[in-house]
Amino acid sequence: MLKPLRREMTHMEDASDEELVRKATCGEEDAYRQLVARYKNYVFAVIGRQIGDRDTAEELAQDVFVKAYKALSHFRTEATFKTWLTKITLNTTRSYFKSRRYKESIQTVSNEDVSIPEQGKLVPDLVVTRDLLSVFQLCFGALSPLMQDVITLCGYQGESYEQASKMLDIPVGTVRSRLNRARIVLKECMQSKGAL
Amino acid sequence: MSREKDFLNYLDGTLSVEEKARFEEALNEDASLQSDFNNYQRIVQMEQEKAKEHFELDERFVSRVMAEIKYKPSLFRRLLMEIKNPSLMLKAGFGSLATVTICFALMYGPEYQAYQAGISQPDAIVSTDTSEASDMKDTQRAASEAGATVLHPIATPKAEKSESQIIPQSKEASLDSRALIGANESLPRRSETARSDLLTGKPTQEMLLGPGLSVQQENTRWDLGQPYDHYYGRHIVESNTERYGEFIENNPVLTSIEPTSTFSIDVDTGSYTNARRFLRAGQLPPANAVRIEEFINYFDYTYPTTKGQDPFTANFEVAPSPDGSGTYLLKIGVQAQESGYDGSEKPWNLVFLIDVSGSMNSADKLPLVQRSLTLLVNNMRQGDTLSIVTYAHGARTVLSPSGIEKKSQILDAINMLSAGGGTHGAAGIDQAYKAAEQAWIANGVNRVILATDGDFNVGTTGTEELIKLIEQKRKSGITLTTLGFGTNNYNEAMMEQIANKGNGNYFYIDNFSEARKVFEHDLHGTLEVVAKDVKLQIEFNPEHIAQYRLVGYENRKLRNQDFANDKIDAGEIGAGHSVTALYEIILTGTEAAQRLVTEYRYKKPELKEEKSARESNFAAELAFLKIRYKEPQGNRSKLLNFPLNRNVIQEKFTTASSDFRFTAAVSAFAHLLRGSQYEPELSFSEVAQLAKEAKGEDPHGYRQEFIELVQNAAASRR
Repeated sequence: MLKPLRREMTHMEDASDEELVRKATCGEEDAYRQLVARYKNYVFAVIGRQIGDRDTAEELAQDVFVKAYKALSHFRTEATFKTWLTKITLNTTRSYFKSRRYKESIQTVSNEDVSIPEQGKLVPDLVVTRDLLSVFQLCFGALSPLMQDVITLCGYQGESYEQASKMLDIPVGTVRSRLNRARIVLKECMQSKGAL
Repeated sequence: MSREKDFLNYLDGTLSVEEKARFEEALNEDASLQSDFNNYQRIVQMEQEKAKEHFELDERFVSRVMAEIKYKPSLFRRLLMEIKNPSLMLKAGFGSLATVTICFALMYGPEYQAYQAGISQPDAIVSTDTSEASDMKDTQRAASEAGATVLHPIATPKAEKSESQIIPQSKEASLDSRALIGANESLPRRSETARSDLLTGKPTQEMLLGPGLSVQQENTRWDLGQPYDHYYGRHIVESNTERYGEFIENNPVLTSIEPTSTFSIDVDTGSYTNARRFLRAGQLPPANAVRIEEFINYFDYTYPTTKGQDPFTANFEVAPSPDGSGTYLLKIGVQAQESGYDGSEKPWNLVFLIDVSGSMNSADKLPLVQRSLTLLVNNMRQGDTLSIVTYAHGARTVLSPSGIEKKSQILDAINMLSAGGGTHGAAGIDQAYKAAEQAWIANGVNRVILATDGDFNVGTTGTEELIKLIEQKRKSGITLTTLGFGTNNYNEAMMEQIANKGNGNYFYIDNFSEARKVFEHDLHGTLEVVAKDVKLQIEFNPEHIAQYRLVGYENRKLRNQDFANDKIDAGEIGAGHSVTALYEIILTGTEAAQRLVTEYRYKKPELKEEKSARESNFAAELAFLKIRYKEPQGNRSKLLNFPLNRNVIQEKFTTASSDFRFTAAVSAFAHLLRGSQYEPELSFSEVAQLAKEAKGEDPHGYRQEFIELVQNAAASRR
């Protein structure tokens, strides 16, 4: 009895997320494998656009899926799997930004950047040497976590306000106003660095 | 500041007409507001710029995640979770409750003990799967009943049926399984009989593949490097529906017995890319998926070309084997002239034949096909024509032959493709050849390009019948290229054979960079055939060479008498392509040759005496290579001769050219992957080291990738 669960890869590809989650909760690894295959690029993109470093992003994406698997039994069907997964993803990046590892990585970068200029030589403005997008990324890092999330979802990922409000658990109006506020802060930040 | 709220409203288009007009008016009047708004817009633009950044992860990632996950729910927990699920409760109602009760009862029964002791029935699972795969509707229905199946797989009539279909002897077992529901006493007996039946009575090829298919799948090699999933009691890699043609490796031949070796060239590379897919996922490919010559020919080697009348040049190199066994390797490189050696580029008439059956509905299949074909379209020139035929339940001409000036129409047609339905491959092939005939270009390249996962399941399904169909079509002068995509039910045996019979070539495309190799870097060679039916015959001089072994080319070997027979089909070579063949040889007078002699106790091939029979004229020759080929439109073969002088022998492996050393590494790797009986005494990491030292110039990074693959293999062997 309880023969090992049969693998049903052929129709797993067509199965809905909910069905796959249910199967995965029952211990069917292939169902979860299918979910990972389905959302790997999405999660990777959400993280990657916030962090900007592909290797770290890949590592974090892996963490996200492992976390999600362990928490799968807590998943309630009120939200879609994607929404739920996005919440985990955003939490993971947030805790990464708080982590010692991240702070150390910034430290090493800024140490490299600091070089003592020779006397009488003009120091080119940092902004001139880097391109616009990297300044943008820099200013993005200075935003509050919630603003970062809103920009990531609505600005980068092209999610609708409704979707984003579900993923972030805030009202739609707040999403809009945060997005607007975030853009203004970004604009001011980039102006202050002379990039606009 | 308050006006900035309007920016978002304006961009989102939520303003009313009047508000919009008022806002635009304010913008025109107030210069500072305007610059503010422009900056705001630039931020939005930058967001969109970021949104275009490409983020993609390959299959390896999925495998890594799955390997990370250690958490496994206990049996009890799984049962609880099943009960907890309300939708299932509603669906199954009392039936589910009853089943659960039985499950509980059985949990303490002898079957559970047996299961815990590791007695499970992996083979039974494999066979049931395969039979059900042929019947899509039933499988889907089974899926909806999955809840019940999970708990009690043997109790559903479907499972019973398929078991008895596949293993006729196991009637007793299925009877017993019926009894199982009522009587616990019969359990141990069932598990024993069923198990012995299922293990010994493996399903035959006919059962698995349908009548008429001579393709075989080798299961035994899977055990070697595969991780074993103790939880499910079977090997984790379970691509049981992928099919590979079986072949036996070439044996060494004594020159005194048969000095001549004949084979057809092969420029396919699909075997390498397919194996790469396995290795990237951290698995070893099945032995029959490794064709050594395709591994070797995947890489570019620099051979000198001469602008002459002949379409080929031949290059030789001889040096000791890297494993120090005393044998030597003879590398023969045949280089075809670059395209347009006669000063003209041929126009193309291409027909894309695209499999849009349900099985193609996966990220690494149809979307990749579309991207690949877009790439090809972008590389087409004025005067080329193109048509698109798709097949699912039936064949459909999506785009009738159109010139490249209708590029946007062509790209639209490619983008509109979507997958769903059966796989009526034969009808598709028929219609594609018709489209090719319709747009026939007399002095050009007329070619059908088939993109599929190789799974034909409606209509002419047997490989042999399909081959007959294609051979018949080949005579009309239209060639066939096959592009393999995807995993799981990939049918490589079919892909390689039909390309071979269609005077074409076969590629396996596992990612976009491979598509770029085929459709950008090597495009002319892929499409423009410089010579067809190219056969190689090499005669070894017994005075210098005691024994030889052709590495790879198992399914391309020809009988010696077929060399001059123009009716016998052989491989094609594209513009600028090169073909490399490797012989493992034993030189006379070396230690290895001495060993060879002592192996024979009763019938000694007297190597020294045979020297008297030599012809002193050819004493300096090591071997003699003959190449026969036909011009692309010709029917009569031409002959080229290349003598190979003894002085090409190099004393040390390390002094050989980097191409030679790299070939040796590739060959060693392929042998190791096959688990070949002739594998060199090298480890994967030693092979990686060899390849690293021989990397040479590597403009496209293919060799670097190879080195990484070897390292991957070393890791998964550990």
